[in-house]
Amino acid sequence: MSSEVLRGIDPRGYFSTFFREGVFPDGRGLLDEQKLVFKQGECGGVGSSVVSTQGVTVSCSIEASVSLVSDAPLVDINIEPSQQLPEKDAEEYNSLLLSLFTIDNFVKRENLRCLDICDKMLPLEWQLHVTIKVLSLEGSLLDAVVCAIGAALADTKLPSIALDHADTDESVIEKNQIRADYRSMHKLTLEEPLMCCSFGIFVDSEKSKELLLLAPNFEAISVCRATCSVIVGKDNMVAVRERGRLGNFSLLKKMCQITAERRQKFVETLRST
Amino acid sequence: MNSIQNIQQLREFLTVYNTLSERCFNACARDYTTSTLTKDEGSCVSQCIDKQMLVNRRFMLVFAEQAPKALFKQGEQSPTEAIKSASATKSEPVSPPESTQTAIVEEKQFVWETISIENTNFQAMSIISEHGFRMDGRRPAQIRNINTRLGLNRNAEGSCYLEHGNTKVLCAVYGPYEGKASKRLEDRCAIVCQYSTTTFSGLERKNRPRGDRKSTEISRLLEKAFESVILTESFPRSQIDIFCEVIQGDGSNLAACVNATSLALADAGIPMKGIASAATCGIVETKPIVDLTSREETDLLPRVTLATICGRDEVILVELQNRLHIDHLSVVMDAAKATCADVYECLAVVAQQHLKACAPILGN
Repeated sequence: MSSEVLRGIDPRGYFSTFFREGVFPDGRGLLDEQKLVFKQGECGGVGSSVVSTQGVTVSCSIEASVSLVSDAPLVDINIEPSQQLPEKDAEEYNSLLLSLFTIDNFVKRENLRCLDICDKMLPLEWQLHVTIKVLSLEGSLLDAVVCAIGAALADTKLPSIALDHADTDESVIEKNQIRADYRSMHKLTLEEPLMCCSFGIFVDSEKSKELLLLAPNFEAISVCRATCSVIVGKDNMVAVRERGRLGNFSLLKKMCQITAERRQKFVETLRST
Repeated sequence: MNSIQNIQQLREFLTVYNTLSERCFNACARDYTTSTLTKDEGSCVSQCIDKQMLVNRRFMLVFAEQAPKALFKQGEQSPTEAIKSASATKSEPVSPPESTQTAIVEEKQFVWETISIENTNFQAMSIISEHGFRMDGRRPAQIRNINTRLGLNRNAEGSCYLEHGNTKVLCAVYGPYEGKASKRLEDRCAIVCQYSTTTFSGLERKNRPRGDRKSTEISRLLEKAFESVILTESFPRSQIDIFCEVIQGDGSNLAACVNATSLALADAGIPMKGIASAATCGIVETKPIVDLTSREETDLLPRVTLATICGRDEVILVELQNRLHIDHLSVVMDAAKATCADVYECLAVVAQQHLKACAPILGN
């Protein structure tokens, strides 16, 4: 009862008592990973996944359509609005995820060319429409969304295309000349999957020391001086989002290392499935 | 002289026009029974022309970007020669991404090595010359000249015009004032930032000066950064508006916006934890280069924009473009931190001079 009172009137004092001992109030270590559960192919479309981690559950489904070869972006992402997710944040996540696709992080543009039954490249491209639904939100959304997109893309299978249009014919390809052949499916060739981890930076006022917290929940974030989300690929840092004041540069490298280790485990699991 | 140039231009125009007409006719005209174009022929012609114009425009843009680089490299080795010499002199092979055993993987490894050498050498050659200078004659760790003018916009509470080399930014700060109820926060003030660029700010003329994905993203980054700099608790239930416009973009636009906003906030007299300073840093062959220009901001070059308070170890903004190898992170961050400290010194001098100039008005 007394701890609940302290939590209500002095959340900072309440959390700092636990953090000084190196644990979250639920007994988890400050840098202990939470379980990541994912399931592929359950939400329809050409590829889909459901991911649950750190109190966040999201579903990702991918629809595909055929377009003529052009310079236009081939992927669009839509994070469906929910009561828990402010519109501004949804736009920001959308923008970040699109930029990851733009710089060929999830899938390369050339791998989205349509193939016929003999694996020959056609003058057509696949356009992917990625839809994210937020089912529960108690922590960092980005961590779950990045994993969900990776898992859904790994699950994506695209049909062969039969094109009734001669190579030498320079006239425009008509809609009725394109036909999807679902008897032979092609697996999408992916780049290495990405991993995102969110961290909180808590400053212990007594020891004036910065503590790194892996995947804090919203309540813990409210007492943190800064939050930072790091997205890493294979040996590379791909994106970073920081909010607040980060005082120790070495923490950033530590964040990258932790995220890289987690990514390795995710990749191995993804391969084994 | 002018007439000769006019004739030359007319000749070039006619050549383009005739080539285009001939190509379109050969590709699109199918029916010779009527004097008018059929519907299919009409759409084919318009697509053909659009494509031709697009290619021409792209070509001119690439030419405008590449021509100065080619001129700069006069007397140096060509990229192919450099790759050959690098492969010949390089005794140690570039470490592949994974240790490999089979013949197929070895073949891939060779390709990877070649590409890697090609990329790094080409990047290094285009960005840093063999004498260690960059395209604009700077050293890798040298920042561009910073010029500022404060208080230009009389309607705003604070304003700043900042030139960072050829990057020119105008920033205006309005508030704190009682803002919209929807944006009002009970315990602190809301920071609303709008980033925009003029349509003529870059090489390519923009259709939308604001509201596009990139502008919205930068606006949000600026908002987040200045939420940690401004003492927002001093102004509960109020709002501060920050407007940043890039008049001419020549690289490090976000960093220039942070610096301009810092000075504009200081001009407005809004209490802050300190003056924020920012810099963009990249890395070429393990060597950091600071304060990048638009020619150096290529798709291959990883670059980090870092903003700190008073040049100290207090990071308020980190933005990464392109992939950065984890081993290079500390090198880039150290260079960026040092550059932020340099920029802060410049901004602090400007703020102090402005304060001195205001002293007679303030009565101190």
